[in-house]
Amino acid sequence: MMHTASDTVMSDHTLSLIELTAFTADHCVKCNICTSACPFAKVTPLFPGPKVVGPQWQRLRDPDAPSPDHSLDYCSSCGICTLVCPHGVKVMEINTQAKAKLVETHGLSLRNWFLARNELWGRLGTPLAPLANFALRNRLVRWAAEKVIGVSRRAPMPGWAGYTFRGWWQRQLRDHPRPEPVSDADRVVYFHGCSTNTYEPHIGKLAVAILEHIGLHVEVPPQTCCGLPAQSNGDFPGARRYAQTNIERLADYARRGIPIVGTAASCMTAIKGDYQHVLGLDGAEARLVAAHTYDFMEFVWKLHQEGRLPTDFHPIHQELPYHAPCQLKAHGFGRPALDVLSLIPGLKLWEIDADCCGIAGTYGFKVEKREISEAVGWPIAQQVQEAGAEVVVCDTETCRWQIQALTGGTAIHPVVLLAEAYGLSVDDYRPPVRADKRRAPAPTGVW
Amino acid sequence: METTSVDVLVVGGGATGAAAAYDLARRGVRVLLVDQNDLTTGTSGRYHGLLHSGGRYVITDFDTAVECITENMILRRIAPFAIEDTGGLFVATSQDPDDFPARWAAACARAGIAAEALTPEQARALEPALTRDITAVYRVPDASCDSFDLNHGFITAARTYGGDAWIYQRVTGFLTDGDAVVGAELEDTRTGERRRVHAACVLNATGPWAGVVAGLVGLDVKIRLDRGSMVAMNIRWVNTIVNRLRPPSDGDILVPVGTVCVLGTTSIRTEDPADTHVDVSEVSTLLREADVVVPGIRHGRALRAWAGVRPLYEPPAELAQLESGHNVSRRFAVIDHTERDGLRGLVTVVGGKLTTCRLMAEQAVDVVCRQLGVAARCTTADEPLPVPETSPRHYHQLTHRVHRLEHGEMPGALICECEVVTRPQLEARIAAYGDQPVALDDLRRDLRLGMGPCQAGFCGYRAAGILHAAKGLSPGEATRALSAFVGERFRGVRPLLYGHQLRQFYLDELIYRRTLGLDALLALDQPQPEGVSDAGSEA
Amino acid sequence: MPAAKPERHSAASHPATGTDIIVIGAGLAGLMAAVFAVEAGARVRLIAQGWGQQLVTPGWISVCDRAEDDVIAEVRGYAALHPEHPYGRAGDDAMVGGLERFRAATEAVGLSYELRRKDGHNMRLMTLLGGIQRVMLAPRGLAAGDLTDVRGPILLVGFAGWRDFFADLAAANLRRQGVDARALAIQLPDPDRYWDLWPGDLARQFDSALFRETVARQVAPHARDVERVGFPAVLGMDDHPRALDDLGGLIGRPVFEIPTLPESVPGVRLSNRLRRWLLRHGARVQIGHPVVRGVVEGRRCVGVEVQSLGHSTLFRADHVILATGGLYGGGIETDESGRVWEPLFGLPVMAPETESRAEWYYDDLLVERGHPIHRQAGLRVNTRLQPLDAAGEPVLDNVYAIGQMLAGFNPLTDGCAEGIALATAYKAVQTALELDE
Repeated sequence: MMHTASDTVMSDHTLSLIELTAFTADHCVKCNICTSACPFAKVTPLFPGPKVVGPQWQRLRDPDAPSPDHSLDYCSSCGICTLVCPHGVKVMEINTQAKAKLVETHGLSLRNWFLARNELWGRLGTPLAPLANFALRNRLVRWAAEKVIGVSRRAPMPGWAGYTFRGWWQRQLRDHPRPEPVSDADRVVYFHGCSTNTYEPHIGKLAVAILEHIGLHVEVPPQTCCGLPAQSNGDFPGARRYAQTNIERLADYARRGIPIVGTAASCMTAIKGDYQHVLGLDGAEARLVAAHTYDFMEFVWKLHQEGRLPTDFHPIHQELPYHAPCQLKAHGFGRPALDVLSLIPGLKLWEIDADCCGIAGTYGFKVEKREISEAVGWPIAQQVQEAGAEVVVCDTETCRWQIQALTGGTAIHPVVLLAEAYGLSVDDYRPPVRADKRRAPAPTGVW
Repeated sequence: METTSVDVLVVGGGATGAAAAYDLARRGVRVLLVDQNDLTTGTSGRYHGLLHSGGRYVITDFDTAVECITENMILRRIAPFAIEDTGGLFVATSQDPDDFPARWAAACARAGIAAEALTPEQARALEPALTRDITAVYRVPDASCDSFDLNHGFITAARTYGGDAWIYQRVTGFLTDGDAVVGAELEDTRTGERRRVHAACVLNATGPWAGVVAGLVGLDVKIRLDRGSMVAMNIRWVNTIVNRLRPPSDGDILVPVGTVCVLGTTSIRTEDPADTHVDVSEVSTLLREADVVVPGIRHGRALRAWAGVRPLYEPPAELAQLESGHNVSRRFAVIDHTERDGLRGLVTVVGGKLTTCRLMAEQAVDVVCRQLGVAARCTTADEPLPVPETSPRHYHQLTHRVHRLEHGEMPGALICECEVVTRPQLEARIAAYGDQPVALDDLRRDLRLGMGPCQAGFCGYRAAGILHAAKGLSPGEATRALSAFVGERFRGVRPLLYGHQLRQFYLDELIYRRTLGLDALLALDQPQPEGVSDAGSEA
Repeated sequence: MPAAKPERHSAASHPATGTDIIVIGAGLAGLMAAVFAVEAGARVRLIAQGWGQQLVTPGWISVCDRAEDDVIAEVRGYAALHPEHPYGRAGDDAMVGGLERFRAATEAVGLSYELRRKDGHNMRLMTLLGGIQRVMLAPRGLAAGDLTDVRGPILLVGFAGWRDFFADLAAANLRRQGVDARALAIQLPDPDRYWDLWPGDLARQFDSALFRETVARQVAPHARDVERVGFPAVLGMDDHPRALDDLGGLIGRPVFEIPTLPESVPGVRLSNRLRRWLLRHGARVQIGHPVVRGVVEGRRCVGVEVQSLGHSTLFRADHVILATGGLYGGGIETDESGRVWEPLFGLPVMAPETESRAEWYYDDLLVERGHPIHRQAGLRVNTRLQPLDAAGEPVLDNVYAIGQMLAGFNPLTDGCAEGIALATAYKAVQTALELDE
């Protein structure tokens, strides 16, 4: 009997509960590949692994009873389990939902509440930057913070820039008004995320410069935290409030077909995926926003494939390691940063063979998990040191901070290299890798 | 030949036999129960897990419905360890006859079944997986019941009152003295050993085998055998029992029991009390019907299929020709063969439902006691059963197993990951069998070993290794024990080998054949060249 | 493995794709196809939904387990008589070439796979239950257990209380097959802490020299009069070669490994090291989001669509090698109605010629000939490994199917699953890159 192509319709799989996260536990064959790959279960016996707490116990939990779990707290929600599962079980998503139940049952600790409100601390610290930065670098303060609220004194901490990206952008618009574009096709929305806003505004400035160099009209609408820190700490009500705010503020752009682009790959994961699959915000607006949201490098690679990317690059003669954060892997779009940066003459990037750097958002900041976090990230440090590299390229901020702490080197966002190759610079940031400006840029090629 | 004497020999270790043994023991009668297999391996074990409110029968069989609601309340009181109060829903959709719900609700009121009308929105708030196409819905006091736990409860209770139960003892013939049965001859189905039991009275509680057993003394007991198939889904799609609100038909119920959701049932006439095969077409029917009330469920993972044989007693002539057994009375009968056949010392109980097992036992035991001249009255409804040691209270209900593991209350290696069975639990169970042989399938019924999604793929080898060490088996015996167990698991999955479960059994078969080399080791048991024996473990 | 040759790809084809070959699937066939293609200088993108079956199989390479003498000769003879069999389709050269290149590639990543038998026969390796399995090629740790020329007694070491290896039972089963085997159970430190101890967990402990010393101290006194010592296949994860040699040295006897229940540590080691090699050689390795469909224009596949978050992503390439697995891997799917299909391209699938799915399986699980569905469900291909339609014509010009998704063999009973994976992976790369013409 020969079945032909005509009877291979994937008929009615779309309508039913089967697609819902918890029901993917049905696909589990107990092969344990997820636990085998879990970077956290590998280094601590406190976490029995994603299979046990995920698809295995999912069918043993009573949805109406209080959460029986404890060990779930040691899951970082890095999502490697979901990626390696050959059968389509959304392991991380199941676990994150179970974590929310855990928090619902036992409440959210002060420390986790604090870590889940990264956005708030970023805003509060900005006007006090010199003092706040001093405090963060003060060993006594860090010791006290560890003892009192449980934030590890060894965790990498960013510094407040002392101004916000949003404030800078408002001044830019005031001082250098941009002409309105002819059509929405030339518009792009920039989602900066909390970290770029208060700790690393240079990334936002470089991103905007690149988008404008490409010829797009950049808009930076009001926005709030993506909600991921709250979500991964199990604070679903908090995460949903952030998510709803962003969806409301971005929906109109999405409706007009304007792409929403962000430089924090993890925030973009939240908007594109977690709002729907983890937080259960499955409305038409959430889907529309998700469909129009892009990670920055994903967007740039898309422009290149459409023949819209200028390639007037100065060469960069460097060989650099690249770390693909777990949240970036969760996008499922491959490694657009590698694809884009491979267009720059002379620049050679290689991907570090590592699942997770160990920071996993806020996980590595917690005192009881700091050691685990460092053990998870160790393979990255090992490979970077073996290669003798001083600069690592990576798309998310907390991973960059962790890599800097682990390697003692510098970690940069891919936009730094892209801007440098385009010859774009900003006043308060000097990139650790320089293009060869003596050489003329490669001609702008349009495919 | 070993000989034992008791007052009453109960044949059949299903729910009725076990309840009867308990009832007799409570009335001070020396009782021994025997079964040709383990306990709860016949119709009682091949059960969907629904403790009926009676709603199912209220139109077709009003008296049974009344018995159900009465017994439902009694069992909740005396065997809470075996029952989960899920509640039940009766759901009518636009596919069902629209005059039925009103008639049904009126009949429930007459029968004393509390049927509370809900709005479709209320029902979906309770069970989000329910269809949007609800035309009427009622809440009733259904519950789900673990028949293994219930049966162990009866047997444990019988033992505390001086009764006993022997398993793997087949009745090969009756001992007679003139026109009286005075005992039976037994054969151990594992060892072939034979023994004799003298008894003043024998209670035949063998369900679908009642005709065969009565036939051993030349009596003719007519039973209509009706095979009903069920499918267990991997997860609890619903947490409340869902019944179709329509005249009884195939695929009427979804029962959340333990970790699974059982879809039941079909009804196909059969002649063989051991006919427990499940046809692929029955699986299709059950999935299709369940999908009407819980859309999407047919794409879910089906874990296992099984069939039980309902012993329906002597259907009235006008119904005898009907193809389906759904309309045949679920009432039961107690046959005093003294009156019917002129043979003293033998009573047969047949028909009925698991929900009414205690009542059936009571009425059968009343007849037995009349023959024995025992005046004591039935008191089995009066006080709770002791919690059987095989089922620590609520252990098999949701959340408790995870809770115990998470709180460090279960030391030792996890052997069955799916259903959470640890090495110390297994070792304790094996020890409880003493010198008796133990099959892995016995441990399955005791502990739910191998009953989860992987169906023994991982725990089969582990349990065989533990059994090998604990019982000092030869390597051939241990290998065959594993093969028997995984083979039995396969038979219950075979009708479901597509999609999810096909993948699972690919992995399981891969483990058995490639990782363990089980097939090649079994081939060693074929006639061997001289000098190679199966006695390696003594070395 | 030689360094990848640079810039072999033709710049003319799809300049903006950055990819010559997309390999779908991260099983043995997919991973090795990617390696072979990178070695040949191609730009490769490997896309897979999770890791493949090498993480659950014993870890050895079954080429033709039933062969009583020369394995390659047996396969050649069989392939000549059965041109429709995957070995027949791939051809002798691909079978030999695939094996050779696999050995070279694994050697290059620090995991040697050994033939061990100079006469080209199968080795005799033991199973977890104490069975004896014929197999041609195996990782060094497994191959060291070859029972063909065993002379003295062997000692099997288990860990007291551990659920995944019962040394007593394995030794007893070996004894009834004439192998002088004995068993020893050693203590793990702090056993109650590990109620869910997987092979991989133990393997990572064996990466530690200190742990190996504590093990060796318990084993050595019992190993004096044995020829070799067998452990479950958990002797190291990242540091396996050193763990193997070190433990042997400490005990004073050669040590070997016995495959365990999943996860298969030999499979994890291989997958991890091949991934690192691929990344270092510029390949993209995208494990996670599955390809949901192939995008076809006329008779060519122009790329594949991945259901990434928010919106799908199209990856373009000149060639697509389909290594999505069979009934287990999801390359071939089935449902309750008895439908059998290939989900990405809707390629024509061979299916059992039965009335209903009731006949896909026999009544007995371990039936010797294996169940019909496993042999019959799969794709038919030509000698270029292009999937064929009912008329025997190729459906697409630049799509090649390899590994377990091919019809005509039962991977569970025929003892040739890995051999076919390697032969067809090799052949597909040769065909796609026109290396054989």
